[in-house]
Amino acid sequence: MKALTKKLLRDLAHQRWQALSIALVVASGVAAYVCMRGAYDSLLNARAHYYARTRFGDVWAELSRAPLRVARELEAVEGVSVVHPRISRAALMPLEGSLEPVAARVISIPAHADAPINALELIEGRLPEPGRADEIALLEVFARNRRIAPGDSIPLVLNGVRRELRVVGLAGSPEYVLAASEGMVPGEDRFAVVWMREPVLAAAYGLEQAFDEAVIRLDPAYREDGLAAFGEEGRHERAILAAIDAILEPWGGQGATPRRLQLSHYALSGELEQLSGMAKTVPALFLFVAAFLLNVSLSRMIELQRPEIAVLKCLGYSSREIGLHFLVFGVLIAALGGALGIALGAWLGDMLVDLYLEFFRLPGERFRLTPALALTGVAVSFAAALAGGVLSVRRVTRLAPADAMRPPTPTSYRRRLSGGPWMKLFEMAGTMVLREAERRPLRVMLSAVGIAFSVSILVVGRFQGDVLVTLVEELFEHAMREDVSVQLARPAPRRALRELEHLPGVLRVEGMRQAMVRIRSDGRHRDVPLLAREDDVEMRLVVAQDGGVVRIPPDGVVLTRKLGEVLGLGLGDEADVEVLTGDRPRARLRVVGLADEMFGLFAHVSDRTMQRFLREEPAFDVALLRVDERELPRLRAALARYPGIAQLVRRRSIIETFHRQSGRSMAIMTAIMTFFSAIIAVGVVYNNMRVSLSMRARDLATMRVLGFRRREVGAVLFGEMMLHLAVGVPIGLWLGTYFSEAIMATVDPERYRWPVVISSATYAYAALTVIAAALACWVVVRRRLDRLDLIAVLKTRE
Amino acid sequence: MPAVLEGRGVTKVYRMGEVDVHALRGVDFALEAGELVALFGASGSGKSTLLNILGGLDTATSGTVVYRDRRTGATHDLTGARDHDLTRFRRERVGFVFQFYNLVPSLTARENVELVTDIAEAPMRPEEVLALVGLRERLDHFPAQLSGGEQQRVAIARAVAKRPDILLCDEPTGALDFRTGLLVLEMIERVNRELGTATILITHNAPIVAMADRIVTLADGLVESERANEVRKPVSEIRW
Ligand SMILES: Nc1ncnc2c1ncn2[C@@H]1O[C@H](COP(=O)(O)OP(=O)(O)OP(=O)(O)O)[C@@H](O)[C@H]1O
Ligand SMILES: [Mg+2]
Repeated sequence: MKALTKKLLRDLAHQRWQALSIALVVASGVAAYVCMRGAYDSLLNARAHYYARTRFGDVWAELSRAPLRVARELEAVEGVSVVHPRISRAALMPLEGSLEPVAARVISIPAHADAPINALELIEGRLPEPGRADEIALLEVFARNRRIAPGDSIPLVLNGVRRELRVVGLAGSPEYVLAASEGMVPGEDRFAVVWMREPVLAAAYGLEQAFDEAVIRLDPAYREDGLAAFGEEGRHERAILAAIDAILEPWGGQGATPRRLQLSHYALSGELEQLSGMAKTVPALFLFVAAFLLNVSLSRMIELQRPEIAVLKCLGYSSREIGLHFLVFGVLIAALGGALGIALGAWLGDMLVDLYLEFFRLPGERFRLTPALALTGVAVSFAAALAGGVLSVRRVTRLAPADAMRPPTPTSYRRRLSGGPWMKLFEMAGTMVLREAERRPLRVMLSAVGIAFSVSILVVGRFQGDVLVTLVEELFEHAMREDVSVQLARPAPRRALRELEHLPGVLRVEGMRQAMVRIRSDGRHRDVPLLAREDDVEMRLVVAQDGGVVRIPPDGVVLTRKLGEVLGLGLGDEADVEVLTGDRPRARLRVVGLADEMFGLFAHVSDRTMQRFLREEPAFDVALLRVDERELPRLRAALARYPGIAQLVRRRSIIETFHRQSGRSMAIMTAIMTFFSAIIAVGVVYNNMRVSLSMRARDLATMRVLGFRRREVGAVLFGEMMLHLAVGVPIGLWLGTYFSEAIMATVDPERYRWPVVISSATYAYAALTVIAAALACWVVVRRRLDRLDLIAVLKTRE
Repeated sequence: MPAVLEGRGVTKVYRMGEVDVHALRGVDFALEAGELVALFGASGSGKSTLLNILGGLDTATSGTVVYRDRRTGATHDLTGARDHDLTRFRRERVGFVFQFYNLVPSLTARENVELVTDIAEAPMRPEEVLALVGLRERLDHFPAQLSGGEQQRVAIARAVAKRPDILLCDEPTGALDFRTGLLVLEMIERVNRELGTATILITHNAPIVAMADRIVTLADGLVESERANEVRKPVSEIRW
């Protein structure tokens, strides 16, 4: 083995802990990449397989009622491959022991076969027997949450008639992957999907030989399998949807929906997109830190080995050979980091995928570590090593060989900071720390930046939790203040509200009218809810990002600001608004306001405008109630007598579900990020201290020889660490805020526009974790310092 | 005899911010094959600077430095040489010994020598050279386990192992006591005599110059005097 190689290995062994700490930082970056990217790929793959297996639909079209022959007309549309006409209705499931009746969707499956589109994935039991009117299959997630098993009976109100039905199978469906209710907030136990044989449902709703929803599969050539849910509309989308809408228009068609806007798919894509956003930003951040750390420690190593480098040059080694020597050092560390990272990433990815699969209710594969992923991981770690190494190795070239001939020159310290009487306040250690900082401000900066990165990663790991909490607070404190909301199947006259006021426990009632509308402008359109409130409502207000309440003027329409941007509509412009239900009235409304709402796209009008627009008497389809909680069971019993109620939602249970569901995934994300950033913090701090220790070993040993105690010598290193923390932590908090904003910017702005709000708890958590990691390092380095071999240090000139 | 190494009108100016330090002001110097030259002079007179320039570690501000290959007779101008050529020159032709030994601390005595034999054309075996300097028993010791004199002998072995044409020693005894210094000088003398390596030896110590063929004295960046010894005094007879 060449002597230079031996030197390399021996240096590596000598600095193994330092090398390992850098390798771990590289490993964190690679692991974060492998785990997030791999989870994203695996989930995308699982979804694709699931969709293929169950023949997931491409277009949905709701209508009032049409004879079956209309389905064949639809099949003739260019690009359409299969049309599955079915019956799909909202119903209530008044389960015993439940405060609010469960909102259910009842969907028909063909009389004798499996559904040709959106096939059910049976998880337990079987499909309803053809001809058995009392058998149903139930959405598995819901059943599990409610502890319903095959063989159980459940009540269901179909067309106002209560029936007892027997659950014979539990199933999943590509339409309900993300257990989303049809309301605003998912609730796995508050929304049921029930599948029944078509003749049974047809009889219940009087839809024999007819259908009220068509699900359509397109020819593969026309299918836009865009991965991004909110991507621009497909090439053929507009033409196909227009053709379908034209055919269904006379049958009360409500406008066809492409797959990318299908609720479950849309939500799922949103989650995946967010994961992909994280997979792009977080590992990049880690690897940047790793490269940075590698650069800093290689530079310092080169600094420390100046005399040796000069000797090697004297002996006739070229700059290239020497540079390569140090580069290999970096590359070996990166290789170790890469290998560790891939293993760690696969392990974490497995957990992450399991978590997501469970969260999404996506049956399917586990995490797959593909060769491509592993190779990218390796390439990425080498890139970090090279990025970190090359810059520092270039210093080797600049080093003159004649340097070896010179005796160690005492470095010149300026006396700027010394002498003043205030200096006496510091102990000698303080003086040494400050002098060194003054002489090498860059080194302090570099250490501080490393620390800042790990602080920032902790902030990034937790900010989403903060944002959610803020959102929930905002939403429920200001925007949704009712105790219970009652959703009607059809709008009812405003007088009916007064009836609700007399129900037990009801303290106040407010009504809202909502309709899905299509707003067009310049060839673009969006389908959004058009909302109208009574003028004096106080339970549902339009709340802007700054917490202010947006007033709705008597005339004209107020759009979510983002909606205005998307459609190119500004104040004073006229919006072309078409209602998608009923007689489909269409009008031009002047935009009189733009509201900075935090999520979603909405249009708001005054009560009066809504009535004029819909050409109807004052009506409501959502009633908001303030109630006396103790009276809730009686209220529920009373409401059960009203057939027109589609959904009854208690605000508190939404909040609870929300916290339960997001709480766990947030906890896991935070744990992962904490783990990574603790590694980085330890890597940075430990490296700093080791480098300090070796660069100042002579000074420190000399101090010991002069009679200073260990504690006093240690104070110098400790003081230095505290200085780096003092500079690094605040920068890190700022940097974390900045990165959080950058990550937030990857979220589809048509869905969420949450301001990045970071709680002081998060800031404290980030700062304290890094300080704790630093103190842990200190304990280790302190022990090394105690073992410092005075003679060896003073004897050799390193 | 033709000179192996010859400098003509060599000057060196160091820029130190506002002031220029004239370390060499036009030095003529020749080193002949097999010769041992002592370079003498007060501190700061420019000895190290000259040695560095002759050894291709540094380049002159003006003047020429020419190396003549003993085997082929070809001459190489070091003045305008590229970094690459200087590296080759050092690798193949020159051995250095420094005041502070400058061993690589993470390598043993043998490995420090291997550092050179790994890249030289026709080197001696590391064990052989280390035996030559009397360190046969200390092959696998690290620098920290050796005394100053022993470290310096390893450094000499390292410089000699490549069978250089030129050996350049900058105060090799500067950090050593009298007896140890003597041992080191004996090694240098032996290498010069037995291997015929042309040697330049920088020293502060007047008695030491007696071991040289020729003494060149520098003062303030110029050659102050130059004289030849009638006979070289064996190192064992030198006292200071
Ligand atoms: N890198 C440098 N930058 C600036 N000035 C230098 C540098 N190297 C040497 N000098 C100056 O050049 C002059 C000659 O230095 P040199 O090291 O050659 O002296 P020397 O004769 O070897 O002295 P000593 O016997 O003390 O080693 C001195 O004045 C020194 O200060
Ligand atoms: Mg000198």
